[in-house]
Amino acid sequence: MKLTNEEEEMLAGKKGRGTQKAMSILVKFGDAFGAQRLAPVASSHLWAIDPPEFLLDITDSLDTFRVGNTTTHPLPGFFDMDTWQEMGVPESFAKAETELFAKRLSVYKRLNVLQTFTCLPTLVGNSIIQGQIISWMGSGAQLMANSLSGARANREGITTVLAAAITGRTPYMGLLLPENRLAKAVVRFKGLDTANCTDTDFQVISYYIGEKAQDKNIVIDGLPNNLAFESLKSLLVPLAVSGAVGIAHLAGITPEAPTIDVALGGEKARDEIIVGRQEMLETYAKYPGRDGEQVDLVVFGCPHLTVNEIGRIARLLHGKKASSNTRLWLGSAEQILTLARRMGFVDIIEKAGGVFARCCMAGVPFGRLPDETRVLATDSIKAAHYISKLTRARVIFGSTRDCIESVVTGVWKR
Amino acid sequence: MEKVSRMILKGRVVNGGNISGEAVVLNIPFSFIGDFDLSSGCLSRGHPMEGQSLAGKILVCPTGKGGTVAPYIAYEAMKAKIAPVAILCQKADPILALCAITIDIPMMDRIEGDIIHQIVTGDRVQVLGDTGMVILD
Repeated sequence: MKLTNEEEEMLAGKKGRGTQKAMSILVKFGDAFGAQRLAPVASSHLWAIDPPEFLLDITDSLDTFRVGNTTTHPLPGFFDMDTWQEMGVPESFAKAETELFAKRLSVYKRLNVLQTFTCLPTLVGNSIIQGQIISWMGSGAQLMANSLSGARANREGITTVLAAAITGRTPYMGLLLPENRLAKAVVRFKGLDTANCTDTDFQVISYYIGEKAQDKNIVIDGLPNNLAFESLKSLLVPLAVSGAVGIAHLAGITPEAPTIDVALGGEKARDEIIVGRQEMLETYAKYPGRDGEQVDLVVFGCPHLTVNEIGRIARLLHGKKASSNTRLWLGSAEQILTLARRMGFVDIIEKAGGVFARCCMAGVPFGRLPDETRVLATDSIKAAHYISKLTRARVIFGSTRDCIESVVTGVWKR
Repeated sequence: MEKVSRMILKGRVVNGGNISGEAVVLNIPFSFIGDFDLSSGCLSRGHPMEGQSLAGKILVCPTGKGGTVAPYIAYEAMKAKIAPVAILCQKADPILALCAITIDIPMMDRIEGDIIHQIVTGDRVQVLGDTGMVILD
């Protein structure tokens, strides 16, 4: 890999030991995957769960990150330092996380990291535009950045993201190169009216497509061009859960896909993925509830809730109360909650028994549920996917309305 | 398969370093998140080789897969001294490569022959990541 003089100095340790370690990780990684050079990074979004020793070591002798705009991903699964007691997560788990958090916080404060703790960084101050090279955590955040704004992000891991914030560089490879962003597979709908799909439908469609597309770039045809952000996030995020899609062009909607042909770079698609009613129904049935079973916990906010989604939940919950057997958790960002509180939504939800948290509602990397949790319901297929793998709870996936119904009655109804 | 007494294979270095140890061979892609139990250092519940320890072993697998959080698990495993000590794979994927680079263990890929079948779990293997060679004793 060809390095600039400044990059050579970082690698030689002239900018401190931590920066040297960070640069060495990026160079080794870039070399292993054929990068010819490093590229300057415009925006960072860090994991908020780095091992403290690693974080302290690699930021050693650093006064500021070289990337100016740096936000943080959610707190660890099911841990919020302010609301863990109301959430009812085990005290031993919360105490251990509180200690780890304090150690990380000292680094965030020293280096001016914005403590956003959310998987939707664009909604809380991390603005990005087409063509910018960014280094972000979160498979959903990376995919939305590539697909909605046209900023360029690789599917990368915690270490390179931190190293990029420190050095201001990332290996120029993969989805950062325009030619690697072209779609290889086309997705078409058959017998589905996408103008009348709910956001839950879009999640299910996305989960199905992800399984078929695996790690291929895709272009999706046949969507109305007035989809709200909430629908777009529902349509995109599960692609990186059941599959490893890095970019999904939405024909006629997103910056690099004015048409299918442009998204394909004038080539013929190698694969076609067809989604119809049958595919949708089969996917809906992956995390089924049993009629009449007791629901111990309902989880909303994976990805984190927007203020409009919080408003919708508040309207559904208005004047109701959670059953005494059922907990309700909602994940969102502090900044979004400020507006939701101003709108009166938070008050309605809290009165009904809901608890807000700024953590990962999918339980990543290994969240602990309250001890008595046997059955959990969620309106997020991503949360259903991960929680069913990471915990012993039985997980039901259903619509927001059905989930609210189970909060109030304490049982699942089909 | 007939075993040759000593075999020297060339490969591509992802992360340098030399070490020898006992191999654990998987015939499916591996991820530290999902396949690895951080409380024991073993392959986790539901894995075809569930319970097989990776602690101090040389992990041999086709490639990596899955979650961007994996380097964190690898780091915690290293700290708990239950991480593998080297990784050999047919084709490195970015996340597994980053795991090896983060905890600085030797890793090689594109090794001559068919390592998934030439190496058997329990075999002693030398990884010479500084010169790009694997020696099967």
